[in-house]
Amino acid sequence: MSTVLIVEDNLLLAECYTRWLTAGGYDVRCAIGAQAALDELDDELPDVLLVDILLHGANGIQLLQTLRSHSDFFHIPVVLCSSVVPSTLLPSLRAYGVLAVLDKSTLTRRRLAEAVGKALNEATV
Amino acid sequence: MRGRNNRQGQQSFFADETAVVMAAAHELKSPLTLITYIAQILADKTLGLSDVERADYLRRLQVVSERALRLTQQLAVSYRIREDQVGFVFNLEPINVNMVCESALHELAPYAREYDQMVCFKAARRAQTVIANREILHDVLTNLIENAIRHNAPKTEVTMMARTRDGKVRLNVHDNGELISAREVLRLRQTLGRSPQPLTGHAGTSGLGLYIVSQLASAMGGSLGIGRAKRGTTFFVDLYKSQQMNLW
Repeated sequence: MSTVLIVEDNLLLAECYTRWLTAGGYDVRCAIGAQAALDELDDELPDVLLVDILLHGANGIQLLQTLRSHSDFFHIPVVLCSSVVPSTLLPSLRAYGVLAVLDKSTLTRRRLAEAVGKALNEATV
Repeated sequence: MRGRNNRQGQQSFFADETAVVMAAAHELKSPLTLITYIAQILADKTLGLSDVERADYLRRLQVVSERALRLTQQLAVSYRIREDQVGFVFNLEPINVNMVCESALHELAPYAREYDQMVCFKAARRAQTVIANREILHDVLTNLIENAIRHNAPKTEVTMMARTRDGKVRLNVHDNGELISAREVLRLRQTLGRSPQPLTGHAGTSGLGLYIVSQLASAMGGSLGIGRAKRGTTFFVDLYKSQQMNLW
């Protein structure tokens, strides 16, 4: 079973993603901020990261920059889920391991499952 | 010269207006997104929700909808005060602080529970009365409590206190979130009451809530301030103490 680490500081949003991904057959863990995400990564590496951009404390981009500087975390594919980053920025975000950008305000269970599945497939190719 | 000043004033007004609209749109996205997700989950029969889970999601739907409604209500009042809109009249009268604090606490308790937090009110031994408008003071407090809940760590407490000082009553709302630096406190002090920033790169930092609180407090002759504690941050509102005999 593939593991998804959700990095989202809105507990209710994180719970909705968890519900959808668990129903899709994923093992899900949650971190409520960038620091909590790094702690989770130290414990166990997930197969995919689902990251929000606007977080309290260090934001999602700062987290991705940190991850890219660690060889252990470099290969983990990232799906960004944000209401402030347009998907047109995806090419410039690929350097951070971002394989998909999802718009929070139009997200559905199907779109989330597709993006996570696609990120897993691309990472294993 | 006057024409130039007017033009500058108009430009500044539209810049402020745009910032407020952008920040409001951004802040409203969060509860509306949640409402959409919860509605999707409730409608999705393949998720096999139990009756208890369904009831829990419906309760959350109500909490989140109330948050969105509070924000729109506060935005409307703030706009009417700012524009000095004709016909928008509100009374200032002696108000029992304890009653309004208790009422704000009661309203926000379900919201705090969603974030695994508690809100408590440490009432002074003698009830204090301030010159205020009951509804507007209620809006001020709910906004400050909501702000504290968003910045607080889970399993902690938001504390409200009322203290008399130099003919004024200070209403404190304290969170136990991350300690902010003295420089950040200084920056916040300088920006309190100014136009919000639509996008700052961090969650919940547009400043829209504090902008609204600052306007509402000013309309009652009061002011908004910020203080720093060993742990967390305190936002406070100073209001004139009523000289009327205390009947409570």
